Amino acid sequence: MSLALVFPGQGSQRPGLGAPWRADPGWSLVERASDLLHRDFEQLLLDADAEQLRSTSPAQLSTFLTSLLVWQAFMVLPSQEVAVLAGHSLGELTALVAGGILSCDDGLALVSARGDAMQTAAELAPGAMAAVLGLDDDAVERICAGLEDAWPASYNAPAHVVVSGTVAGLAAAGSALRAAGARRVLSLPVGGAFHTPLMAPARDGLEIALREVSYAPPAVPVLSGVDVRLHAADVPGVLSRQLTAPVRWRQVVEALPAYGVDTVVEFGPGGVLAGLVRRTLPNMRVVSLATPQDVARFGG
Amino acid sequence: MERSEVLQVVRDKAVEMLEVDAEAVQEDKSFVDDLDVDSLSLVEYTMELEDAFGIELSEEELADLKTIGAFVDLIQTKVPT
Repeated sequence: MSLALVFPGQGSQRPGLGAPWRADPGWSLVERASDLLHRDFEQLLLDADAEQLRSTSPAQLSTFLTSLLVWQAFMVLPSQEVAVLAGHSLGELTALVAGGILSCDDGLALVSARGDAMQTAAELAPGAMAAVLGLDDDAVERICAGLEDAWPASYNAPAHVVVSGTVAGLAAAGSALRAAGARRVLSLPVGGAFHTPLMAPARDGLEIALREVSYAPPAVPVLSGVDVRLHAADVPGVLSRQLTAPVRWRQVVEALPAYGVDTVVEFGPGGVLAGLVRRTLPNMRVVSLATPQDVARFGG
Repeated sequence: MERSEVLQVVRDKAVEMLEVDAEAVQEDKSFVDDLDVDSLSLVEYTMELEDAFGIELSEEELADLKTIGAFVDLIQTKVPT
């Protein structure tokens, strides 16, 4: 087996997402994160309700930590052949930690700064996001180009594009997309117009944090959803651009076979990426790991 | 189409697309409340069923559904006999 390890972004979190890991030796990661950032991550992963987990920063930190809990357990398994790593939006930072480019502590610091910066930008320019199903990329791009404040924000799978924009821009986009034949336009429970020019104000805050961390050469290559290339010299530049650029997840998935990947393994709750990979590459073997039992079964 | 045949397709597609066990897909259960399926996955799943049965399900019709049994009933009313 030659594996791609993939890490989800915001939207996969749910109440009690850390509970399966409470008794795992790897739980010390959560205690350490709480100490580093002076926040109660045990509460967030075990007791936070859906409302608390919807806010940008808690949503991102809880997803990041839970993915790393699963990944740590996976790394204890007899060695696996890992060809490449990738992550969806926030998950790209998780992938950079798993790939050895960022230390766990630096990754945590960046996720925290990124979440805060995005939340602040979203307060300056309130926005929303919606999944558009049943229209080609081209049609979605054409319609958004003709509108003031709506942009394609994530290419998730064939005929599945997320659009992002101001509340008014998204309402206009919704009508136009339905008129053009979209089968569904589904609002996503996120707090801002992520991956659009409206996130430009978040760059300053993130860039300060990007300058304060170190970047090691990758132990395993990490494919970026910003430009569908391997992370190399300019990791901070790519992460800064990521705030305002669409996530090219579908293109990342389509690139995996060229890296020799025959199995995609998702780390974290929800199984959202596993579904997107199945929709994009129907013949790819796909596994979703969320609990210690899942990991043990995979190690077989 | 027999109701049991509709239920079979609903169950098979749920196992395939939603990562749930076949035994968990019971008529008195809810995809969202009992099987923990997120709304986006559920929408993709209903689109797949529209294709499988050659029908259309409106968002209004779907919004009112509480249980998998009610979902099967709705599909059955749409499928040409």
